[in-house]
Amino acid sequence: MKVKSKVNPTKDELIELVSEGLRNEAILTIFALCKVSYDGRAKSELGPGDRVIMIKPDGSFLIHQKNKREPVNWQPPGSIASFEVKDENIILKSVRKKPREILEVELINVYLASYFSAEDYEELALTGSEKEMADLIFENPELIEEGFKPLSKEKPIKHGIVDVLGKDKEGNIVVLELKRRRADLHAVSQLKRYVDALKEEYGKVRGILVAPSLTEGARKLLEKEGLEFRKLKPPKRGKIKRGKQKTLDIF
Amino acid sequence: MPFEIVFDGAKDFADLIATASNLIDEAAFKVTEDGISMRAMDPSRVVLIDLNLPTSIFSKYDVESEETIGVNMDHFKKILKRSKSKDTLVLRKGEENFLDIILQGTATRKFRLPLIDVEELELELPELPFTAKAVVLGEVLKEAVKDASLVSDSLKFIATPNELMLKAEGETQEVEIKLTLEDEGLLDLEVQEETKSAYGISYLADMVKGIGKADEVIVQFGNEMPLQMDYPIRDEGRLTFLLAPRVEE
Repeated sequence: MKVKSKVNPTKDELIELVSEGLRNEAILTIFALCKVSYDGRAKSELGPGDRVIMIKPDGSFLIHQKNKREPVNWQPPGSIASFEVKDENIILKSVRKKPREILEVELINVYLASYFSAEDYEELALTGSEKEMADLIFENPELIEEGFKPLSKEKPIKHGIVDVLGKDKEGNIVVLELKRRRADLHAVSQLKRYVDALKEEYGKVRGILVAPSLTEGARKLLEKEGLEFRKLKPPKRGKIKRGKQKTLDIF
Repeated sequence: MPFEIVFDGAKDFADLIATASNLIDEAAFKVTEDGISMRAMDPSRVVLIDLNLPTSIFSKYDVESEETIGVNMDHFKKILKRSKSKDTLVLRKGEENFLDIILQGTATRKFRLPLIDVEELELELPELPFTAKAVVLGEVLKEAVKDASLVSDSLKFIATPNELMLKAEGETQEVEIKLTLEDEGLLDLEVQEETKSAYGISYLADMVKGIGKADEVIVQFGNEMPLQMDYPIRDEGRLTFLLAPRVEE
């Protein structure tokens, strides 16, 4: 069953639903008046209150109060959830092995219990990463300037990793520091460090900060240090791919 | 309904499950009088897996009536990974909703795996008009996938009447693997017309992971069509993959 829920479940109904949810590796969600105790690297007690409890198939265990974004108590993925019956109440338990941490939730009154056998195989697709900016520059070097020749990506040098290393049309070494967001002072000093390090080896080295925009402070420092700026936005996803993956549905 | 099935050489069975578990999270195994079968599609609907294990490959096969068991593949794989190659594997189910996985070797080790509800999908293994068929050694495919992954995320299969070529092209580098019937790695080649098609490396890598180097693998494909890969399990059993192509835009 995809979803099962029970409003104001009896003790037996609750036991059935929780064990089914855990067994089927579903997301269990419980609205309840509950008490929480945690023992592990620290210790905490949370007196009775109405909370939302969520147990995910990977073992993540979250207890939310009615405000704030973060859960008040939680266990990370990999924890083992179980339950036991004590007197009249059911206690949800989550154990993390290393470091050993135990979270116990005593359900005093349950308003709703449900499980959801969720299917979700997508991962968050981060678009416009610095790597994609580098790929874009390799495909279209004239975005930086006419005659620019990119030579290597993510090249390790003495003081870090240079995003893109290339040459301009006069043959000078050019260091590109890529930022996918508005670049700040930190980005400029990073670029400066790389340029200085490479100067020891190559003599004349140009440094170009490549980003969608610059902070005012960054612009001033850039000018002072004799570095340059090129405006470039990270590409939208899905441009550079070799062939489109088909699914079997059409065959 | 209860059953008891015995397989000698637990490690081979472990490899089989490990290969399938790369592509699917959970599977419904159909246990019938004739053997064990499983068919599943990976979540991205790019690969279809079809497994067929007839009773003859098992040293004991005691099944009273047909039953489908749902298994979390990751858990199943991890348990089977604990086996040694000389261990005998016993799969036993009683009236309860558990699968006992017993490894008999220097000691008898019993693992208990809860069975889960898995939606049984009615999947057909389509009969496709392939125009190229080759029988190659497992080793060739395994190495080709590794070679290709150095330079690209897709591998092109090109078959001409006398040659099978696998080719990967990256931004700056290329790999080409050529096979003719003179080569030890190519055992048979039947090509109706020149056939070309490309497939994603990460899927291929998952598919060939469990293949033995000396296995004779049957590879069939068509122009911009899926690739079917069959490999034998103890001669009479069979694991089949059907992989959707990558198509140039």
